[in-house]
This record gives sequence, C-alpha cells and structure tokens, in this order.
Amino acid sequence: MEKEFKSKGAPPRVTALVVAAEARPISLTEGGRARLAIPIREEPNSHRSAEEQKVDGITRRSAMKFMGATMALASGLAACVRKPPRKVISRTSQPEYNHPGQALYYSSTWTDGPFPYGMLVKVQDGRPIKLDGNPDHPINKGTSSAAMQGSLLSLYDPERLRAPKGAASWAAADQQVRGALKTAKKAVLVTRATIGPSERRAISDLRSVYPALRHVVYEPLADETRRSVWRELHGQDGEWLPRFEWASVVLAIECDFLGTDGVELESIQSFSGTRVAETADDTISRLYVVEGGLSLTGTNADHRIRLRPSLAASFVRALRDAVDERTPIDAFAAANDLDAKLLGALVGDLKENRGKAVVVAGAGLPKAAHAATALLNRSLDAFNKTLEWNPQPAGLIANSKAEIEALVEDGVDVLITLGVDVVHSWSAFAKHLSAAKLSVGHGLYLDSTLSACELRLPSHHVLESWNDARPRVGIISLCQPVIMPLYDTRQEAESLLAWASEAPDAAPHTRFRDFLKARLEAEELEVGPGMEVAWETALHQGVILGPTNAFVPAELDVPRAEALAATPLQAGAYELVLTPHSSVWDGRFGLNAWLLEVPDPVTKLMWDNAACMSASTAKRLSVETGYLVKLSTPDGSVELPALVQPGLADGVIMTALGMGRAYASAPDEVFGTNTWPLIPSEGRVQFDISVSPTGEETSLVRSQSEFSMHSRPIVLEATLGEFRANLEAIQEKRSKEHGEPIYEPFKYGGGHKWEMAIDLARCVGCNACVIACQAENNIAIVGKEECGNGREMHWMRIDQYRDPVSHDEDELSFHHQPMLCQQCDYAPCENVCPVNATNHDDEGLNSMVYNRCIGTRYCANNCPYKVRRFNFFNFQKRFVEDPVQKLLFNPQVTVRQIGVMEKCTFCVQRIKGAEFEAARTGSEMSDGVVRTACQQACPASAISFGDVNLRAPAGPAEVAVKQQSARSFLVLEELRVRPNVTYLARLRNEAGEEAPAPKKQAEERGDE
Amino acid sequence: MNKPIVEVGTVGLVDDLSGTIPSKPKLGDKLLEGKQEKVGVVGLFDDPHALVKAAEKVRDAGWKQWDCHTPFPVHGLDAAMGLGWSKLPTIALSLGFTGAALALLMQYWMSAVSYPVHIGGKPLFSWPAFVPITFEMFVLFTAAGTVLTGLWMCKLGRWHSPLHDSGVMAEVSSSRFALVLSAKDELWSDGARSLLDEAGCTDVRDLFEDVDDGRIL
Amino acid sequence: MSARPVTTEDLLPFPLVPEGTTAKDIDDAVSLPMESFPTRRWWIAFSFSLGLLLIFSVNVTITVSQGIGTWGVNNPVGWGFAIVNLVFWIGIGHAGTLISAILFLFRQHWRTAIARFAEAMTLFAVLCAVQFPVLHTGRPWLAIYWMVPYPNHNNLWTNFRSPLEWDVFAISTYGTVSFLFWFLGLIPDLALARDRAKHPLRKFIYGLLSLGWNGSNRAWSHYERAYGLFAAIATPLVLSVHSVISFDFAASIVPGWHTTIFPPYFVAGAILSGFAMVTLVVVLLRKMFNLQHLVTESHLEVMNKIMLATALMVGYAYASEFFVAWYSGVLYEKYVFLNRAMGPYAWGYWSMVTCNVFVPQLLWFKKFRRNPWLMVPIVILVNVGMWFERFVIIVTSLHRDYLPAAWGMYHPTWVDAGLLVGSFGLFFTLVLLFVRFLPTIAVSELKGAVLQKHAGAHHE
Repeated sequence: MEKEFKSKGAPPRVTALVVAAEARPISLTEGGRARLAIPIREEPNSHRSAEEQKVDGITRRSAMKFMGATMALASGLAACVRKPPRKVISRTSQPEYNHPGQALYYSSTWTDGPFPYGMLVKVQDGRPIKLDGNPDHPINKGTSSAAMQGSLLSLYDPERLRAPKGAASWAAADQQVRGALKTAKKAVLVTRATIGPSERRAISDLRSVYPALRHVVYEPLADETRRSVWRELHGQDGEWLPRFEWASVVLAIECDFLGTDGVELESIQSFSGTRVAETADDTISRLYVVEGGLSLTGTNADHRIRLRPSLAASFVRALRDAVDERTPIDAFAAANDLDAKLLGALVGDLKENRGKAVVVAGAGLPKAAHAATALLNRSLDAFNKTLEWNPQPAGLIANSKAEIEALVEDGVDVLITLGVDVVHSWSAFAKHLSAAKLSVGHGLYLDSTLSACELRLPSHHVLESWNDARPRVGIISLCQPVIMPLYDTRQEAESLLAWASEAPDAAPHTRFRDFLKARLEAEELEVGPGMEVAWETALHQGVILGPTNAFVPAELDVPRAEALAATPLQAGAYELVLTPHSSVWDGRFGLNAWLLEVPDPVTKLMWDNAACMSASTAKRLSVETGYLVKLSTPDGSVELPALVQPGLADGVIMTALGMGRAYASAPDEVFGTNTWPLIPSEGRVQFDISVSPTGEETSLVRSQSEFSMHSRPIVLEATLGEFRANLEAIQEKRSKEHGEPIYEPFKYGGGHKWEMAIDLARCVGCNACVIACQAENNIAIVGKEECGNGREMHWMRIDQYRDPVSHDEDELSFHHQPMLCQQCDYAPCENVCPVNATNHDDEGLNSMVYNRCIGTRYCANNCPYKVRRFNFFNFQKRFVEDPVQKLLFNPQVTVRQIGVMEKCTFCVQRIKGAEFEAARTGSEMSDGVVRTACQQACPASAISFGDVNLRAPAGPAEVAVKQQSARSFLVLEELRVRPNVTYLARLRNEAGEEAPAPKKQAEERGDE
Repeated sequence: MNKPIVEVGTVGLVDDLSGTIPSKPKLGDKLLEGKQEKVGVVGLFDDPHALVKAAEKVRDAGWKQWDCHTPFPVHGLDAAMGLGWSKLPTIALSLGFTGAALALLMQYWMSAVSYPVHIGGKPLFSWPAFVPITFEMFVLFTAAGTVLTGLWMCKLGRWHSPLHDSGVMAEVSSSRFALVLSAKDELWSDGARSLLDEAGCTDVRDLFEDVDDGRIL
Repeated sequence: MSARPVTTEDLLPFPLVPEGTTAKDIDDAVSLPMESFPTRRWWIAFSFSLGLLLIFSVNVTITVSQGIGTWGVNNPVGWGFAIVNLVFWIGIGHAGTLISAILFLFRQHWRTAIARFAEAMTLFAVLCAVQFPVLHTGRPWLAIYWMVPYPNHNNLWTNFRSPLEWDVFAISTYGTVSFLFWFLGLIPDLALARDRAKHPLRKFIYGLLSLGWNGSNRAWSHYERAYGLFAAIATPLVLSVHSVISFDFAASIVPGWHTTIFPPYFVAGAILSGFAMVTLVVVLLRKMFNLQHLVTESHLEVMNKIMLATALMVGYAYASEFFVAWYSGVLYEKYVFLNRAMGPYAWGYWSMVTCNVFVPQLLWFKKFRRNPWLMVPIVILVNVGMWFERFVIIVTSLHRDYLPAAWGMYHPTWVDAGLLVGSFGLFFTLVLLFVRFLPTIAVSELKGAVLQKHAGAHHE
C-alpha cells in the first residue's frame, strides 16, 4: 500500500472525507469573498540583531514606512496602469494538512463526461486550481482530455445557478416534490446514462418509495445503435472494446476512436503506442480510415478512403467477401470508383493479419454497418483477440426519444430531469415539461431545460460532489468533493435521497457520502471491520481495483447478423454526418469558454460549428467558406455557415452537434449553431438531405488559415519502408545551419538544461495539452471577436498541415504539430527587446519578465515560430474582479495585465518548485520529477521534458535519449536559433510495405 | 546733461523732464531720467566694402577694443579686422569624442558589469551592437558642445549692449554696417571720431550706454 | 578654410531675388506675416489643422485608455500603422536637415530661401514621429521612461543590442540637434525681429530669444564656424538616423526585413518623401504669404530635380530587392516578395511603385518642375507612395513569415486612421504657428547672398 502511495508522478495525496465533513474547507457562500488571499508572512529575521537591522540609523521598519509612502505615491501616479485591487486578509481557520502556498492533491473521478475517468485534483489554499488524470486509474493512467481539464472552469462559472428557484428553500422544494410524487399517478425521472452505481441505487430506492415513478435515460450521444446491435447479435448486453495495442492493422469506418468515439484517452494511449519505430527492426501499426466526414482519426490515418456513409455497410460486406475469398474487392472498387489497388492492399493486410487486425465502425452508423462489421471482425478472428468484451459498459442503456415520447406524451404528473439538458438537444421536450403538473429541473445552469421547469434546482459541480463510477468490470472509481459548495447547491443524488425519505437532512453534503459508503461496504467490498481503512485508502487512491478476468460473450448469431447487415438503404444526393463536438461533446460543455475557444483539431474553428464539405461539393453547391446554407432533413432543418474542408467525401456534409447554447443571462449571445434538430432517430447520419445556399454570408473564426507547408522544413515525415531502409532518412531531410556565428556562443554552467521532445508519431492532435496549459498558466480567454482579430492567447497551439497525395485537392494527408515556445538558445526575441524583458536564464530557459515588459511586440515579430502572445486588452479584468472567477487562478503564475507580452515558459513555476524542493530535502532531482502541464495531460505521452545534463545514475533523461533518435529534427533549423524543443518525425506506414506484428505481441508470442 | 537723451532719441516722454510721473505708466515708459555715459563712437556705412576699408585702417592704427556690426557676415572682414581662426570646432569636437567614449563605457558597464543579462546567446559585451549608440552620442555631444562654446565665444546671453541703447542696432540689423571704437581702448581719445571720418564714414555718432535707464522691464 | 563662400554668385544656379531687391524689401517681405494680423487664409488653414489635431488627441485617449487592441495589430502582425507613421514622419524630417546641412556644405546657396522652412519642418516631423513609438507600446506610461537607461536601485538597464534602443538614442539626438541647428540659424533673424518690433512685449520676447545678438563681427566669425561645424555633423547624423530606423527591420530575422540594402534604401526614400513634403509646404506658404519673389519657381525646380533623382534610386532599390530575394535562393525571402507583388496586399505594393517610381517620372518635363499647381499633385502622390512603402515593408513581411500555420491578415481600424490623419493636424498646426511667429526665411543669410553680390557688383 505504501508503495502505491508513492506511485510515480503522483504527489502525496490526502483523502477528502475529513475535509468535506469535519474540517470545513473554506466556503464562499456567505461574504467570504477575500478569504482566499494568501496570508503574507514577514521574513523571520531573528538571526539579525537590532543594530544589524539599523541602516544609517534607520531601522528596517521605518525604512519600510518611507518606502510604503513612496509606493503609495507611485501607485497614485500610475493609477492608469489599472492594477487589479487586492485584499489581503489572512485566513483564521485553515483546512487540515494545509500549508499556505503548498498544494494538496485529491484523487477523484470525472463524472461529467461521457466516460468516467480518474481525476487528480490540485487544491491550493482550499481551492481546486488544476485537474489531471489520476495516475492510479487503470484506464486514463494519469492522462486527461481537454474537456476534463475544462470542467475546472465551469466550477467557478459565475453563471451557475446559485440557489433553488421556484421554491423558497431546499426544504420547501423537497416538500413540494415529495408531495407531488406521493399523489402522482405517473411520474418520470430523466437522467443521463453515465450515472454511478450508487446514484442508480438511490434511484431504485426512490422508485421503491414511489412506485408511480418511472426512470428513463436520455443520452442523445449514447453508443446505443452499436450497442443494441451487439446486444442483439450476442444475446447479452455489453460492448466490444478495441485493443489497439494488439492490432497491427486497424480499419476505422466513420469511427473517430481518437476523438469522440468511445474511450478516447485509452484508445489514444494504446494506438499511439504502436506507432513508434526507432530501429530497422521496429515496426508500427497501419491505420486505414474509411469515412465520409473528416475525423481526427482520419487525419492520423496512413490511408484515408473517402466513402459516403451510406456505402459503409456494403463496403464492409464487400470487404468480408474479399477477405473470405468469395468475391474480390475490385467489383466494389469499380462500382464506386475507389482506388482498387489501395482496397486490394487493405484486403491483403486484413487477410495476412487475422487475429492481429481490428475493424471499428463509428457509433453514428446505422445498424446494418455494425452488423456487417461484427461479421468482418469474426472473419478476421478479432473477437477476444483485438476486441475485448466488456459485459458491463459504464453507461446505462439509453432510451430512444420514441420510448420517452411514448411515456410522456399523454401527460405526466411529475417530470424530473437530473443533470441533463434535454431541451437543448430535443426542443419538443419543453412542451412535455410545461404539460407536467410539476416539472423539476436539476442542473448546473439555468439552461433551456431548467428554464422550462417549474422547480429549478441547482446542482453541485463534480468537484463539489461525492460519487462513484464503474467504468469497467472490476474497477470502482470514487469521486470526492475537493471544495465546499460555492453556492447553495446540492448534488442530484442528495436530492434523490431527500425525496426518498421524510427524514430531515441531518448532515448536509455528507448524506450521499454515507449512502455511497454503505452501499460499497454492503455490495462491492469484502472488508468487514477494516472498512474505515479500506475507505480511506480507496479515497486516497481514487479507485478500487477488483479482479478483471476476460469475459467471452455468447457466439455471434451469424444468420441474424447477415440479415441485419443486408438491410437495404437508399441515399440521396447529399448525406449528412453529425458528429459530437470535439470539445463540448453533446453540448454539456457548451458554455465552457475554454472548450469553446480551443480550436477544433480538424477544422480549427473557434466558438463555432459549420457545415463542412469537400472542395468539389462546395463547387457543386457554388458556396464558399462563410456562406450560409440551409440543411433540410426529414427530422428538421437548420441554417449554418458552410466551411470548405478538403478531405470529406463528395456529397457529404459534416457538422458538429452540441453547439448553439447560450447563458440564460445573455440569451442572444449564442455560441455556434444548434444542429440537434437534424439528428435522425437512429444513428447520427442522414442519408438524404437537401442543401440550399441562402445567399447570406457570415464570418467563421478559425485559428489557422493556411494549411500548406509551402515545402518548408517544418514537419518532416518518412514512410516506414523508407525509414527502415535508411535510418538516416529523416536526418537527410533536416535543414542544416549555414556559416558560423560572429559571436562566441554563450557557455552554460553545466547545471540544469531544460529541454523538450515531442514525438509526432505519437501525437494525434487532440487538444488536451492546449487546455492543460491554459489551466496551469492562467491563460486568458479572449472571446470570439478577438479570436477573429487574431488575438487568441493559447501558449500552446496545434498546427495542422496538409499534403496533397494526388491531383485531387480532397485527397490529403495531414500533420499535427504542437507548437509552443521553442526556448531557443539564440533566441531572436531576446535581442530585440529594448528593456531586457525577455532574456535567458542559466538553465536554458527563455524567460519572460512580465513586470519589465512595455509591450513593443518586437519580440513577437522576430519570433519565427510566432508563439508569443500579447495582451491587447485587459483580458483578465473580468476574472480578476470577479470574486468567484478569480479563485481559478494558479497563484504560482502571474496574471498578466494589459500591454504585456507572454508565452510558454516550460512551466517554470513547476521547475523552480521542484528545484526548491530538491534543495530543501538535499536530494538529487531525478528525471520526470518536473513535468510540464502539457506533458502531464498528453494521453499519447508524446511529450518528454527534462534536464539534458542529467548524468548517470539518475540520467540520461528521457528527453536526452529522444534527442538522439534517428527521427529527431528541429523546426526551421537553418535559422540557427537553436530551438530547445526537438521533434520526432512521424512515420507513415504505407500499404504495400508489409506490416509485421507490433512489438508488444511479438514479445508475448516470443517469436522473432 | 540731457542733450544725449534727446540725441539718442529714446522713446518716452522727451519733454517731460520735470520728473513728474505720468498717469498710467505703460510698459517701457521712461519714468525717470536715465543716466548715461559715453562708451565710444560708432560709424555707420551703407556699403560693406567701405566698412572693410575702414576696418583695415582701424586695424592698422593698432586698435584693440573695437568691433564691426553687420546684418550678415561680410566677406574679408575677418581679415580686415585681423581676427584669427575660431577655436570653436576644436573644443566642440573634443567634447564629441568624450561623449562617444562615455557612451561606449556606459554600454559596457551596464550590460557587462552592473547587471549582466544573458541575451540571445550573445556575449555580454557584444560591441558591434553598441556602435550605433556610440555614434549618436558623439553627434549629440558635439552639437551640444558647439552651441555652448558658441554662446560663450559669441558673448551671447548678454541681452544689453550700447548699440541697443543708442538705436543704432535697428539700422545695423536691417541694412547698415557699423564700426565701433570703444572708449576702453588705450588709443581712445576725443580724436577717435576723426579716424572714422578719414575712413570715409559720413555718419559718425557718439555711443552712449545707459548706466541706468529708468525703464520698467 | 573659412566656411564663408568666396564667389557666391558663381555658385548660384539662378538669381535668388529679382534684380534691385533691397535689404529693406527682404526685411519687410519676411517680417510681414509676423507683424501683420493673420490673413483669412491663415485662419482657415489653422482652424482646419486644429480640427485634425483634435482627432489626433481623441484617438490617443482611446488608445491609452482602452489598449492597443483598439488598433488593427494582432498576432502575427505586431506592428501596424503606428510604426508605419513613425518611419514616414522621420523620413519627412530628413529633407530639412539635408537642405540645411548637406546643401550648405555643398555651397548650394539657393537653399537659403527654403532652408528655414525645411528645418522647421524637420523639427515638427520629428515631433509627430515620436508620438507613435511611445503610443504603440502596450504600456506607454512605462515605456516613456523605461526605454531610457536611467539609474535605478535595481540596476535594471536597457538592452543596447535592440534596434529599438538605438532608435531611442538616434531619434532623441536627431531631435535635439535639429532644434539647436534651427535655433542657431534663427538668432540673427530674431535680432532683426527684435529691432523691428514696435510693441515692447514683442521687443522683449524677441530680445530674449535673440540672446542679445548685435551682429558683432567677432561673433559672426565664431557663428559661421559653429554653423559650418553643425552642418558637418548633421550630415552623417541625418544619414545615420534613417539607417538606424531601418535597422529595426534589417537587424531582425523576419523575411523581407532582414536585408542589407535597407539603410541606403531608407535614406533615399526619406529624402524623396522629405523633399516632396517641403515642396508641398513651400508651395502653399509662398502663396499664402506672397513670398513668390523670394521663393521662386527656380527653387521649386531644383527640389523637383532632387526628387526625380531619389525616385530613381528608390526604384532601383525596389528592383534590387526582388533580384536579391530570387538570387539568395532563400525560400522565405522568395515567398515574401512574390507575396508583396501578388499577395493580398498587392494593391499596397503597386500603389507604392506607381506613386514613388512612375509618377515622379513626370518631373522629366520642365513644365511639371516649374508649375506649382502641376507639382502639387505629384508631391502629394509621392508622400502617399512613401507611406505605402513603409506599410508594404512592415505588413506584408509580418503577415506571412516562417510558419504558414501562423499566417494572418492585418485590418487597420478607425483609431489607426484617426491617428494617421490626426498627426498631420499636429504637423500643420505647428507649421502655421511657426510662420506666424518666426521669420520663415533665413534673412541674414539671404542678405549675405544677395547684397554681398550687389555690393561687389557696385564696387567693381
């Protein structure tokens, strides 16, 4: 147990149970605004005598006074500087374990998202300031996603509902609900699919009290189509989990497994693990993506085949026939004019890699496609090899709209929605809410659902809640509060308990904890008297790991599958692919400024969604980017701007769901377009829509406008074959420096030298690092308009480049390149700053002295990587002045003012913290003790960071090793700015070159 | 003696010699009778060349305390007056070089000694980058030196001279050329006028200086 | 040798003034604007300039109170109108120093009639110029003194490797020297003004300013030397200042900026724009104050010839830039120059070439060189063109540099426009006050050049 406590990268953690229940971490509920200011302690100067303290007869104290006066004067003069007002009030009662300025870490679980990931919360002086993955969590293993990072912002969102509305108090509200439920003939409770076991138990308890109560699950983006097919074909509920680490050939059909389809953090880890080759013997997996839209996965493919989703099912059937050597694929290729050679290669790969190949079909596809895919996987012997059966998916089975409709259409007495904004994605539901005798909405915001409800109850944020989750069999993940509720809110489960029994709420905020604990003790754990210890340990670790033995489902019902796969399907001229939004998912994060502002990894759109279409489709419709088009489907029609997105299949329109939400306070300020009216009853593809330009125009804001590399040495790439034939392939492509510098280069002391390496073979371009950086470094949000003016502040951005692979402008291969300050040894920015505000420290960091900066922006002009960001306005004003929002700030990072330049600092606050700690404890700094925010978040572990001067035994550092890789290169190397960020080239595994088994499998099998 | 006052033709209440103070004194009014003393004699020419000739005569007569006043620099007058070369450029330039040296020293001290900061991988004393400022400071110091030495050498900044008092200046600054023999010179005698007459000057006047003109200014 | 010209008349390309002009005529003509109540034309011009000046101050207030965000600058285009205007105004200034210093050294005596205008213009142009580098910083209230290496207890000094720091020294030196030079030339004429003054207050003020000048020849001999020396140091200064300004670009690594041709190229451009501006101001003022007989068509013609010459140099620079970009074989350089001529800002590039190279070709014709109303549109266009030159250099180089992913566009705002237009208000207000209160022509110098000659003639 002790060992686990000290698991790598995981700082010492404490359990929150005492925090929440007994010790009362700071609460902001009543007038406690300034209670968070860090108390200022005067330096102890006991070792200095009074005489020593006298300077020319002036004591230090009196000198201070004079200085104080001067300061007052100065600040009076410099009033125009608009320094944010600061109150310094020291806190009387500290949370336990708390040392001022020293962070505490709590394990918890992120239950907001579509999948419950383990979470590690950094709490500074009683306020959560950073979320990361829980290293002990077996699924996300310490990594995190953008959405996960982002939910920190929503905790401090001033727009949150702060007290019950529609009832005087919680007690009154409970009374009302209980009363209504008692008398109700028909009551319906609507919840999300991803509620935890204890919440489910609370619901069943509630239903046992009120038999009239029905529980329906509304999850518009649930994996229901796919899951129902599996249920049908295997005769039992469950899901097939792709095991990419075992696969040498992956075929994704309209499936964004690296982005929005499935457990992306796990998929990214396992997939990118198979993409790295260092020696001539190494090999990597080969990814084929067949899609009509353009997904993040598609941009990472070795080969993309553009295929309309309506053909997906028949394509998979044709593949199966080819793999089983019934009919060759050429017929299909000819019929749909696809590259027969490429398809042949695909078939070849699949055949050669039976048991080592996996085919995944996107959750959006209709049943036929999934049935066909199941059959193909069967032919490929993928089941229980590259596909693993999970009999117990994290989410409940979601009810279809039809089922819910049927239940509520003839009126209900009580209609309760728990933490799900139904109306946003299903506007018709509003009338049912108003029809109900009593409608109750429980949620974070006064969203479209709550506004339609009679009783509007504010929920806890996940960071204020107790909860548990069962992501997989044998994994119980616990969620504990890390801050006392900011407002007079209550988590949904608490409400359920309160409604179930008349008993007054004795211990607020801990009732559900006790319920949960009791349930665990009774159902999950066999600990007997040791419960307390087990409980504390569990909270400490954040997860309880049980036995996970492989489950083998019932045999696939082949005839049934073949029947289902053959379901005919007619498609029209235009097809519509609706995808979850890359960061706001189904819209549940649609009010989160971080997630709205982060550019979509594929379209680079900010604060918006659009109707993406291939260049030729755009020509056919004679529209250009920004033109409004009207998409009409049987289910509804929507007008939204077009976006010419090369790479889509012709005749396919792709757009993201989940946008188009607005704060209740500013209903006109809508972010993007709500495309939910277009959603079909099954799957997420409309096979026959009509598209008509409206003739109007609007402006789309994108973080990037040019996607061609203009044959510059920015991203280097080689094919696997090329690389294995010649390990110097990348090195030969490097752009070399010319000539000699006129100066003697600066000599470093030989102390620490911090450098970074980014492996583009691993990076898939998800935005985790961008938001992690934003959260860690107090990076400002600028809003859509300023993004449009090119003033976004992200210190880290992900550049996207596209190479044509054929004459067709829609046939492209993509590159993602995380770009951040390269901390150049010969930094061009430093030479031109007139006031030395940016200079070099002796550890190789290009430091930025905000206080000294006068904002000439010369450094930004002279930065070849354009990674410097300027505060054109007082962007942080809103946050600094808001008593709640300012709690978000990381106290170790300066909040930059107007007129100041800023940029990535390699998380210097973390470096200095670690160095200080090492100095304090007199210990050597080992590799990995300093991890940058981006590195910590990265699910692909593409980023390595460390001290290249680290010597044995502690060293050499991982980054130093990577710098020696045959794939290493520097961006714009010939400029001789000597960047300290080394990139490792991505290798494309082209068809035709054989793709032997990946390392992992080789080891297992012991062959080669 | 009040004759000169009339002769000098000072503005003010000439006939009001009773000393009674007029009602409403205006700025520049002569409220009290001024006291004047003769400081020399001035000869006025209309032709610069005549002046040059006269100057040569005076020079050859061995006068020291004398000067010419002209609306613009007259060719050959320096020679005619026997003036040597001005030392001004030497002084100004040496100041300039001092400035340059100081500038270079300042840059060295500030970037390499007082607070060494590591910039762009360059050495602390990266002298090529320090050249422009060194040059500019050379120019600045030379310019300042020129002006200051100029003021000092041209005796500027003394706002008052006999020429001003005895309205000759107005004529000189417009178009006439004056030669002044000062009473301070040891060759000075009442016969000094004759020297000018011989030089062909038709308009010779005594030159008075207000010891105390009673103006409010 | 003495700084005094030996045979003035030989050096004169044309008679400076009509035959028989007396000293008094010159005095009267020059002093008229100072001694008479301003004309209606003056008042109209003045109130117009004040209006522009108001626009300027309003936009300054907006910028300082709300931030640089009110401008069009962004990432990647960190510099916009402000720096364009800075370079533009500094360039304008150069003609003044050039005329007063270099032409003095070359004994170009025709300069006397316009030298004073030109120097004053230099001064005012520099004043306009310095507004912008201060304004364009994110925190002007700090920039205004942090750029200066003043002693402080933290020993925080400035970075002498930064071209911007060089600017601080270059521009402040330039401003100071131009002022001193101008004032030195004014002293004898202020004395004249003093002696002509009727009102005691005028007498007092001009008296104070003229430092008690009494035309003593002992003073004259030093004065001449001082003036000569000034001319001698101002000449390298004027060349250095715009070179230093060009270092802001040449010393960076931005493709399209990092060019060795910049210093001469900028100086030539500065002279072109400067002479254009002098010509414009002179043409207007001589009309406004009937100085046609002192500032003659011949003066204008000579200036136009210089403009024609510099326009050709500038044209050569444009061409050679392209050649070098192609010859260097540097990917980024090549792209930048193609982008200038064919990219989204091609309109800017081509209006630059048209105004600076093609339009001045008209000056090959005597008619255009001598007729004020034909040359006015030309000089205005040249100034427009020179402004565009700086715009093209700054914006087109920045908006598409090394990483295509970071490329962007630059769209100026109304505040940008307001500041540009308003700075002209500042400039012309100062010019009009100058012509109202100070002698606009170097009287003593002109007399020296003119009467000396007559006297000589009469003497033989």
